[in-house]
Amino acid sequence: MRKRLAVLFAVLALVAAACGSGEAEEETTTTADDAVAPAQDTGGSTLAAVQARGQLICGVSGTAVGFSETDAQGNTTGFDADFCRAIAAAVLGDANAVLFKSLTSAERFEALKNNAIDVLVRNTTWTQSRDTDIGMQFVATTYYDGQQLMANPANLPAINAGSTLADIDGATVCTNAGTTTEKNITEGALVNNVSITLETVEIFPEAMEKFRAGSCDIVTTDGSGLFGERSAAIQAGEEGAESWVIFPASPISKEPLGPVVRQGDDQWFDIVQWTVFATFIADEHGVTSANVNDMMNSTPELSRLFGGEGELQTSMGLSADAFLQVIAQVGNYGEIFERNLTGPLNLQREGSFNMQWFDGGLIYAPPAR
Amino acid sequence: MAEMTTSQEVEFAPELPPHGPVVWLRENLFQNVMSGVMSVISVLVVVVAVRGLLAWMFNPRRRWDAVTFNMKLMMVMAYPADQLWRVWLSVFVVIALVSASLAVWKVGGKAEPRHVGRTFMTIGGTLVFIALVSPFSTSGKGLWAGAGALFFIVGWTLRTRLGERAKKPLIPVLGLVTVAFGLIVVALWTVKVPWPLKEGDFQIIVFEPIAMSTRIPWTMLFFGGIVAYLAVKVFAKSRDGRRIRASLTGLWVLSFPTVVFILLRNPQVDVNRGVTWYLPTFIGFSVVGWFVLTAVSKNAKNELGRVIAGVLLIAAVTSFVFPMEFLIRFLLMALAAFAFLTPTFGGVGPNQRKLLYAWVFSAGTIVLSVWLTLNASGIDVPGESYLGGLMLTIVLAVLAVVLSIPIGILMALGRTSTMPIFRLLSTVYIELVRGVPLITWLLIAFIMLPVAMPDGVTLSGVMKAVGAMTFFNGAYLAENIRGGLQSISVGQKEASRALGMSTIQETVFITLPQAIRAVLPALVGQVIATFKDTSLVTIVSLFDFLHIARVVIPSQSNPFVFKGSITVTLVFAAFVYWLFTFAFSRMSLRIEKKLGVGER
Repeated sequence: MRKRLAVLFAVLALVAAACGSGEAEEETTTTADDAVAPAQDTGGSTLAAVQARGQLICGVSGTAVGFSETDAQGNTTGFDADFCRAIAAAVLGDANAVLFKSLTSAERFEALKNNAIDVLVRNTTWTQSRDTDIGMQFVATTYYDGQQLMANPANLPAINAGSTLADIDGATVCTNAGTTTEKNITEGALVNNVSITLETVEIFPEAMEKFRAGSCDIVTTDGSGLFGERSAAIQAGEEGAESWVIFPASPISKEPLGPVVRQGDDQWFDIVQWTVFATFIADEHGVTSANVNDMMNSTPELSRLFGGEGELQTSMGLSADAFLQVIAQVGNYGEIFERNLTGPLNLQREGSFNMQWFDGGLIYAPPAR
Repeated sequence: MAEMTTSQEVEFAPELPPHGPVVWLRENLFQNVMSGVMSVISVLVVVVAVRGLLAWMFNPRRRWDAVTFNMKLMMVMAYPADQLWRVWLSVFVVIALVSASLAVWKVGGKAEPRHVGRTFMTIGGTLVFIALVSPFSTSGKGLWAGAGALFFIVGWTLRTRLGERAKKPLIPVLGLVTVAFGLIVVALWTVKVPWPLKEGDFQIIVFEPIAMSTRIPWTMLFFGGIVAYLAVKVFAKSRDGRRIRASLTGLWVLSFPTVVFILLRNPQVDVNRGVTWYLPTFIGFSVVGWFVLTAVSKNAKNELGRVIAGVLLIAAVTSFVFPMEFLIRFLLMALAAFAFLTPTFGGVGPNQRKLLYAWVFSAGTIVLSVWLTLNASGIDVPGESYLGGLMLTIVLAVLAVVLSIPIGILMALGRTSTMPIFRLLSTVYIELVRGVPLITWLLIAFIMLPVAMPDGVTLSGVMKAVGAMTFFNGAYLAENIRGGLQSISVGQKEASRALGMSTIQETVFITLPQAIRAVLPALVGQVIATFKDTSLVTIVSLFDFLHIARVVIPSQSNPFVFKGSITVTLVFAAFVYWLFTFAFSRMSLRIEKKLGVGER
C-alpha cells in the first residue's frame, strides 16, 4: 500500500514541478514551416511592427504578368514587387527584407484588414467603393491602365486601330470572370447599343487560347495585359500576331493601379506614399540607381529628398537616407517601369499616361520640401 | 485385336482448335457484319487520335521549354537551391524503404519467358503502329519502327525459340524493372531537352543536355536503390523474417516524421538548454513512467490501476489549463494513454517489459521532436512558405491521409458504438463535414480561423490546408471504415467475447483488421481522390503543382515569356498526376491480391 501511495505522489510531484518550471517560460506556438509573426502584433503602428520584425510583409498577386510574377527559382519579381522592395528599402534599409505573400483577388482586402500583410501592392484598381470601404486607403497611382480590346483581323476584317465599341456588333468577346472587365464591356456594349456574345473563362490565359483557336473574335482586359500578350506572341514567332489589333485608342475604362494600406495609420500611409513619390521625383530629375550617389546633392530638392537636411525623413519615422536607399537599391520610377514592363513585355511608356507630367503624362509628385 | 485398337485411340493427341492470326481476327474483331463495322470505326478513331496527339506533341511550335525551364519551380517552387539535398534525401529515404520492402517481402518473383515475350511484342507492335500512323519525317518513322521491330524480334524469340523452357519461370521481374529504370537513367545522360534562349528580340528554342543537378541525383538514387535492395537481401538471409518485417514496418512509420523533419527544419540546436532542461525531463519521465506503468500492470485486475490511469488523464487534461511547457503536456498525455493501454497490452513477463521499453522510446521521441521543433530553423526561403509545387501536393496528400486515418477509425468506431454520446458526436461530425464542400472548409480555415485564434498564435497556410483536408478526409474515411465494420458478422464478436477478450482487444485484434481489409479498395480510392483534391488549395493562394502549371508559368515574363504555353504545361501536369495515381492503383492491386481481398 505504501508503495502505491508513493507512485501516486511521484506523479503529483511531477505535475507540480512542471507547473512551477513552466510558468516562467511560456513558449509561443510555432508551426513547423513558418514562424513569422502576424503583420501587427498589437493595435499599434505598422512601422513599429515592421521594424521589430525586420521584414515587410507585402501582399502581391504572384501571377500577374509584369506586375508580380513568380520566376523559375520561385522568387517574386515585377513592377508591383519592386514597389514592395522600395518600401522595404525605405523602412529597413534593405530592399530584400520583404516577405511576399501571394493573394487571390478574393482574399486581398481581407488579408489587409486582418493584419496579415502590411501593404497591398497587387495591381488593384482605385475605385470609390474600395477607397471608402472601412479599413482601406489607396495611397497613390503607380500605373495608369485602362481596359481595351484585341481582335484578330483574320476573323474580324472590319476592325482596325481606329475602331470603337460601336464596331463590334455580333462579335464573341472573351474575358476572365469575376473582374471589373466583365462589367465594363457589358456596360460599354449597352451604351453603344451593340449586341455581343460574352464568354467568360476562369483565368486570362484560357481566354487567349480561345482567341488563338478562333472561338473568340475579341479578348478584352487591361491594355497592359493585351500589349504583353501580343508582344509575347510576336517574340515567340507566332504567325499573324503582328496584325492583332488593340483598340479603341482611348481605353473604355480607367484603371489606376496602386498600393493600398490599412485605414487609421497615417504615419504608415505617409511612408508608403512618399516612397512612391520619391521614385517619381528621382525619375523627374534623371536620378537613377547608377548615378544617385553623384547627384544626391546636385539640387536643393534632391538634397532634401536624399537626406541632406535630415528632418524631412526623420520626422516620418525613417532614417535620413531612407529614399537614397530606395533609389540606390531599387531605382527610380522609369527604371522600375523599364526593367519589368518595357524590357520583358515591350510595353512602351512613351505616349501613355505613365509619362511625367511635363511630357504629357499623369506621373506627378508634390515637391519634396 | 479389339484391345489394340483401344490403346491406339488413347494415344491420339486431341485435335487443336483452329488458331492463327486470321482465326483470331475473325473471332475477335469480325464476328459478324456489325462487329466488323465497329472494329473498323474504332481503329480509325484510334489512328486519328494518335496521329493528332503526336502531331501536336512534336510540333516545333509547342513550348516544351516552358516545362523544362521551370522544372525546379514545378517540383519544389521557392525551396532554396543550396538546401535541395534535403528533398533528394527525402526521396532517397522513400526509395531505400521501397527497395528494402521489395527484398523483405520477396515481391516480384520470376516470370515465364513466353509472358515476357508477349509483353515485348506488344511494346514493339505499339511502336511500329506509332511509326506507321505518325506524321513524322521518313527518318523519324524509321527510328520508331526500328525500335519497335527490335522489341518485336526479342519478344518473338523469347516466345518461340526457347521451346519448353519458355514455360518455366526463368526471368526475374525485378531484374527487368531495374533494367527499365537503368534505361531511363541512361536516357537522362544522353537525351537533349528543349531550352529557351534569347536571340535579339526573339525567343528561340535550342536543345540542351539535361542539367547535371538533375542527372547526378537521379543516378545516385538509382544505384542507391539497388544497393539498399542487395544489402537488405543479404542481411535478411540468415535472420528471423518476422522480426525483420516488423522492424521494416516500424521504419516506414518513422520515415514519415523523419521526412517532414528533413524537409522543414534545420534546427539551430541549443545544446545548453538540451542539457539543462530536455535531458532531465526525459530521464525524469522515463523513470517515473517506468514505475507508474509497472504499478498499473501489477494492479491491472483491480481498481487501483484504473485509478492511477484516471489521475494521469485528469493531470494531462488540466495541464492544458495551466501555463506550462508544451513538452510536459505532451508527455503527460502520452503517459496517460500508456496507462490506459497497459491492462490490454501489458500483461506480465516479456510483454510487460516490451511495454516499458516502448514507453521509454516514445518519451525519448517526443522530447527529441519537441526540442528540435522549437529551435529556430535555419532554412531561409523567399516567399511565405517552404512548400510549393509537386512537393506541396505530395506533402499535403500524405499528411492529410496519414493524419485522417486515426480520426476516421475513431469516428467509425464511435458511430457504431453502443454509447449514445459517442454515437451522437461522431454522427454529427461525419454528417456535418460531408455535407459541406471541401472548398468551403478550406475557405473557413483560411478566413475564419485567424479571427478565432488567440493572440500571438499563427498557423501557416500549409498547416491550415492540412487541417482542413484532414478534417474533411476523416469523415469520408470514417464512413468507408464503418462499411467494413458492418460487414463483420456478429459471430466474430461473440467468439472473441467467449474467449474473454475485452472490448479494446476485440476491436484492435478481431474486428478492425477484418473491416479495413474488406474496404481496402474503397480506402485506396479515397487516397487517390485526396491526392487530386490537393489542387483545390490554390483557392487559398497556396501554389500547388497544378496552379504553377496552369497560372504561374503562363504569366512569367522575365527572363523568358511563356505566354501561350498553358496547353503544354497542362498536358505535362496531367501526365504527372496520372503517373502517381496509376502507380498507386497498381500497388493497391498487388496488396489486395496478397491479402486475398475479393477471393472470399
